[in-house]
Amino acid sequence: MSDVMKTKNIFSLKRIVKEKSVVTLHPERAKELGIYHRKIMSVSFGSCRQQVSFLTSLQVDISEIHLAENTLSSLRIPDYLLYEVIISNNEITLGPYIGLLLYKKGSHLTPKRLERLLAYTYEYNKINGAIVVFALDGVKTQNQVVEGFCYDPCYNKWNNGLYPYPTAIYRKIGLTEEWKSHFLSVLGNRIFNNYYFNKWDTYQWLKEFHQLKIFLPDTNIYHNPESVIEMLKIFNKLYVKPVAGMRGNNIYKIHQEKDTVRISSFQNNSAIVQSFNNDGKLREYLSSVLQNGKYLVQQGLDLIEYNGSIIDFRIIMQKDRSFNWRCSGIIGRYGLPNSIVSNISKGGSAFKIQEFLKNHLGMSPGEIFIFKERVILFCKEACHVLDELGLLCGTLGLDIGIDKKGHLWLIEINNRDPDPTIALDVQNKLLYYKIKANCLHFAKGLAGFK
Amino acid sequence: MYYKLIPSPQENIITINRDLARKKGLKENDEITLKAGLRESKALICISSAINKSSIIMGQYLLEDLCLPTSIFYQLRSFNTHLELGPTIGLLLMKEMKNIDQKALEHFLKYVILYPHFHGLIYVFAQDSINISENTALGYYFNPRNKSSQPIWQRALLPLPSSIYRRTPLPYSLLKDLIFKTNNKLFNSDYFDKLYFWKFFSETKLKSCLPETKELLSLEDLDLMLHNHKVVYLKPANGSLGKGLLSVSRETELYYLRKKNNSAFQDMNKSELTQFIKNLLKSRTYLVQEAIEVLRMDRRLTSFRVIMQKDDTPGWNCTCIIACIGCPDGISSHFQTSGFTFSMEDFLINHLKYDEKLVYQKKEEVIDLCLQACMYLDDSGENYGDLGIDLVIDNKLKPWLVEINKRHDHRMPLSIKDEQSYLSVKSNPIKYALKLTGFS
Repeated sequence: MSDVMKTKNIFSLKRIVKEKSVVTLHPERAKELGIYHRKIMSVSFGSCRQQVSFLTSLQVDISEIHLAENTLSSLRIPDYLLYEVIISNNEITLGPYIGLLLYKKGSHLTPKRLERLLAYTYEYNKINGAIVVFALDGVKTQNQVVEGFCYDPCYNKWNNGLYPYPTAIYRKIGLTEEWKSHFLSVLGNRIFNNYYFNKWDTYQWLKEFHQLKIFLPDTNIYHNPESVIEMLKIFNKLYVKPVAGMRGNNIYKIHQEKDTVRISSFQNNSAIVQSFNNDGKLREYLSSVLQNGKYLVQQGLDLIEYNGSIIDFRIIMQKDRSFNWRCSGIIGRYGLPNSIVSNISKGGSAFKIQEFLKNHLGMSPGEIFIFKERVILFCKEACHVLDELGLLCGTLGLDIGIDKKGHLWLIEINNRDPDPTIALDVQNKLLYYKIKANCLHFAKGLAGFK
Repeated sequence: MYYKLIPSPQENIITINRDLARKKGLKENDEITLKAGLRESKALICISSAINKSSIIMGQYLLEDLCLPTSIFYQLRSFNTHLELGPTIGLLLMKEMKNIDQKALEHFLKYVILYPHFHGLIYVFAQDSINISENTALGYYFNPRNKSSQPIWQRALLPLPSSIYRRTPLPYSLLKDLIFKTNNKLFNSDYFDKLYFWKFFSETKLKSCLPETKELLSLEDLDLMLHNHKVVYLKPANGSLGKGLLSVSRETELYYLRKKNNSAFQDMNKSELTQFIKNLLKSRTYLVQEAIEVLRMDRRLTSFRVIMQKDDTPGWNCTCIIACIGCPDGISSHFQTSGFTFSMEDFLINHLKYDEKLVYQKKEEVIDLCLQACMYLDDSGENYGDLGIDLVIDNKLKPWLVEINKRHDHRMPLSIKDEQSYLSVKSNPIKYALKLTGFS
């Protein structure tokens, strides 16, 4: 173990009882870190810092870093963990210290949930440092501490405690402007995904990039029934979706066939189809169910189908520790017969694309391979554009459709809370664990530990 | 942007569209060096607004000097000192041109499945078709043709390429020449043997993951190893598919030898074995290696083939891991006769009934180990991009590195019906070769 620790710059912590505000290392390690001659340094863990005297001593084991009792307590640093070290600006940073901001209320961090959250820690031996799960109401802005649960690899459980603010945060809840500014002030730009953008943002931003424009279905904001009627003059099939919506709720499919306009929607767990032969009735209906500015009217796509429902593909894109975008997986979905959505929560099914595309759509292995490459190439391009827009994203779920002519279409970019359980829907537990672990790998990179 | 080359009788003049000239900073009558692969030629620039943006008119002399076929599209890169047409990628797959027959070419189509993403000149050639002093080679270049015709390989005299993916042994001097001329863009550059593998990794932190190994020079070496290990293997340093593999154990004064595949034990005494070893060593170098107590399935030995490859992204990736199960009571996990294969997850979860979390962590551990091995190889100064690592997991679940194959069998994923991984295995080296050329 110590051989590995030595090469991988990993340290265990030891307490110095007799002195105050001091940090000691074995001279070889100090040399490796380039701090052999230092006398005064600062040491940090998350948002806590302290100025210390720095010493080297042959009495200190090569795999240890010794800190004074008072330093350990003012840093609020768990002493049972292994830490990696970064030297920057005369500061010894112990880490990585990653925060998982998963809930608004601490009461949601029940023992059962915490048990499930262990799924994030399966690659701990490659992450090291501290992983703290916390809720927003556990954040004490006055002292800049969080009340949360720190992962303990020795006992494979979470330890409740008060810790500094983490160095990097993976957040899965919405934050007010105030909270965002507060975290930004303390952590800098180290929270991901840092800005939740909706379908309208996606369309408006991405259409400015010519290499992406052709993959975006024509989209407009719904203001009034004219928004729909005007668009029906160009496209005989439209989708009306909430600007900010998830799980396939409140989606309407509008189909014009000669003089009849048919509207399908999903209400109370059943599909409803309504037909309109005159504009007046159509206007009345639309006004009753849709609100100005809250819906998008989008070009309907002739996507390939199975089982009477459209098929789409969820592409999981995640950044690695070196900030390169990688495709973690591609999973297909189709809905219930005649369903207008493919979401699992609306009765849809997920499938592994290899067998499915071969058995049900008659695609050859070569065609499937080329399809996957095209999709991944496009998704990487889209992700790079998001980077260029100034967003800090680390894990995304892109929904892609393919129409009957073979064109790719970007349906949506899930950036608020891309759900890894889709991997479980195709019985791929290893992929599920990998998706979760990748979030931590990226957080580690964001924390400065590449 | 892809360009079509249109031949003209105007010797060494290259005519381009006005917009292209502006973009590349070229002016009428500029004299430039034009490169394609390892060949280069001087050309004179001529600008015309009559030709379209995606065409370049090239003098016949230039086309012949650079040996460029005009039936395919090219990318164009400009530098301070020259212009380059490409990418030019060579697949050095055979020793002799005459063995590149219709059947082989049909098979090689799998390599170029992603051709439309980069175009340019990608060709298959052989050791004996290379003219090293002229920087040319006879080869079969890929021509996708159009939607109505089938893609084909066309035979032509071509420039030696900027990057070479090779899957055939080469004479030392030719290998060195090619590495030098391409500026180390030939991979895999060194076909080291098992002895080198062991020596190389013994100097690294991965030593603890290597089975104990010694070069077999006399009976003493064997005795020393048998002192520490119940069973050892005798392996030729240069061998594949378990050919020449022997297992040896000892009981008091007798040695028990066994060849692969269920053959009976042969016993020998000290003097018989001494003679046996002398004979073995007459023609080949042999290693003695500790036999690891590997995971078994129904009395069959198991091992794992980890395919590690580079592509157009930085670093190495694990393309797939295949569990190989040997014949019952055999001495190896070679599955070709009466053995079988599974994906690693399938094998460990469904057949050996390990828990998913454990399998996940073990898989990550194995990938990490192989990644470290690959990175050490990168540090050696050679160029590797496509490796098949043989690894075993012992009954305490510790992984051990056994061998690194430089010309591993690409068909392995097909044995577990994983066609997508097979196509990835074929495409990744091409992506890496493309990256090496500097084109995108």
